[in-house]
Amino acid sequence: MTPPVPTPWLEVDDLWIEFVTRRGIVPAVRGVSFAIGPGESLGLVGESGSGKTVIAQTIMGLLQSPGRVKRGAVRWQGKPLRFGDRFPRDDVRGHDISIVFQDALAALNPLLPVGTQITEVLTRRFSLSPKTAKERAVELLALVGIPEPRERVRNYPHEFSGGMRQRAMIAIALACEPKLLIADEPTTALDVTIQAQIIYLLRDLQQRLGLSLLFITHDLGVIAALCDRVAVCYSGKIVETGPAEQIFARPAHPYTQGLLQSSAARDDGRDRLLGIDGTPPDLLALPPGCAFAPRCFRADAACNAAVPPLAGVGVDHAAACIHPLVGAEAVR
Amino acid sequence: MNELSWFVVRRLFQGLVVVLTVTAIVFVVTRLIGDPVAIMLPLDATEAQRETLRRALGLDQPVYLQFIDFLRSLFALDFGESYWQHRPNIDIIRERLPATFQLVGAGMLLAVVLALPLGTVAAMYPGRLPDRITSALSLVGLSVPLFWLGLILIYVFAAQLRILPSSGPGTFVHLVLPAVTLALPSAGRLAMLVRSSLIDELNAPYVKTAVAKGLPLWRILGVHTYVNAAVPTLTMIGWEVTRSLAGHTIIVETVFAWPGLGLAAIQAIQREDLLLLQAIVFVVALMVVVINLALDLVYKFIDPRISV
Repeated sequence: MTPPVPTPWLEVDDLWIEFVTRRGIVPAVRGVSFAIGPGESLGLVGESGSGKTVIAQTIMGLLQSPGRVKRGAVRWQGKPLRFGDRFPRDDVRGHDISIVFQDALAALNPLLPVGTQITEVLTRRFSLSPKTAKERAVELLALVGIPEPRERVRNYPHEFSGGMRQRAMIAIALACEPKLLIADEPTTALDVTIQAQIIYLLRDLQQRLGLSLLFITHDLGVIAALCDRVAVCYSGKIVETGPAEQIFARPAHPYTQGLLQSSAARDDGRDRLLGIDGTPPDLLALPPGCAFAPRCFRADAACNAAVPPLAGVGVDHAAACIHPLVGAEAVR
Repeated sequence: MNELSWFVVRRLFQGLVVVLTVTAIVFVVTRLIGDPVAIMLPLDATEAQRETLRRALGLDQPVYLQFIDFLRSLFALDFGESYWQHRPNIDIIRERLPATFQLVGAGMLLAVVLALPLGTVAAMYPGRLPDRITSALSLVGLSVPLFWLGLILIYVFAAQLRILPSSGPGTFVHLVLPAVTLALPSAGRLAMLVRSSLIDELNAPYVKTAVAKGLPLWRILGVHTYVNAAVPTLTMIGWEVTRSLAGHTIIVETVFAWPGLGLAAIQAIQREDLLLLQAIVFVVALMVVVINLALDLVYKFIDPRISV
């Protein structure tokens, strides 16, 4: 009945990442696993400090000291990727996987023309001649919807507007013709109308190019527009994962429900925006049981006794909760 | 007129103001040091002889007229006649400039050639052994007094090993010790600056992008970070060249009897040849202004965000 599960391209397998600080070892990511198949799009959602950006950087090999992978593996088409090198180079990162960062102004080199920042990928990856590479750079700028691309290749990042810069960043990420695009909060730094344009652009590109997408955000509304599947991150763990429409319709984890209720992108006529009481726990002093228990209205002694594992609550839908929301409770 | 020409014109005007200010200071200071007539004439000269010379030198005129006259001759490149050598000061300067240019050129080139690789290696391994070694070397280099360094080099390479001449001009080998002396402290300061700029740049987000693109290390370093570290580094190089021209060469040329402008300045001071000293200061100020103007233009070329 269920369609055959495609072989995943990217597998993150029981990934543990910690940061060595003066105050102690911060367990930023604690046993995260997920997989992304061809053409699939996964939304990784969570608030600041939930570990989502660290996961993205680790996949790209960008995790830097004092951060380190304590355990686990990241595999691309079955092949484990290396971490820990300051300047990692392999034939996956920048070939099959590329990344779009949140702050395009900082992520682009301010002193090189945008065209150069695209062509350097093309000449390296495809050994294109400078002339062909420039033609291709113009095409890429056109592909991401930058008007007058032939003139724009010569411009510097500061001569672009915020939205155009993020488009240029996407063009750079697409230059290596990746199979998987990681987008790390690509719209957070933009204003709302531009956000929508970038989201539509990503959705369009994903469909046209058959890209897989790992979309990292704190904004559930964005995930609803883009992603097939969702993984909700809390204090370095995935607390709920499943198909997007299921999670939006029937969240099983109280945290996911709280996130949905505190999202402004609602049209159910309720005039009050709900929040989640309390603050995320200090990663240096995690509770022994469920990290969300201190803020959870359903928590009891059992929640504080042991960390609940991810357990199935529906078809392809799992939550790390001892008392998952079921039936009528599981509404937003 | 386009933006850039305006920029150049404005900078030239600013440079002119600087040169005029320096000139005015030199003019006042030389008149504070002493009465040129008293220096130029023997002690037993009569008052009538003094008055004649004073009139011949224009010193009987009001000070503002003297200053205007002084400016007029400066811009005609007429620096008067050397009291010490009895020939036009401009000829002395023309004769001495090439030696100073050689020394500063060789010294600064050597400093840059030493500092760039050392600073780069240190920046790539901050806090680790290569960084500690280069930082210690840089610290020694920049702390050593020039005259002492010069003497030590002479002692080791000229007196003991006898492989290099101790002083004087002549062939390329004569240039080695003075250039090394001038270069080492500059190289120390430059290496530390290259190190700290590159450490900053290597932690910049655009480097993450470059790494994520799978670019080779040489391109990340050699293109991405060097371009961004270029403005502070060039500022420092400009500053080192300026300090060499307007100070360090005086010491180095004296230690090595290198017949450049710096040695001429010391000789002019020793012989109380105020007109020659005045001329040298003016020429050095002019060079400093030109160097800074050139650097401003280079900055604009490197960083298009720099507005004019």
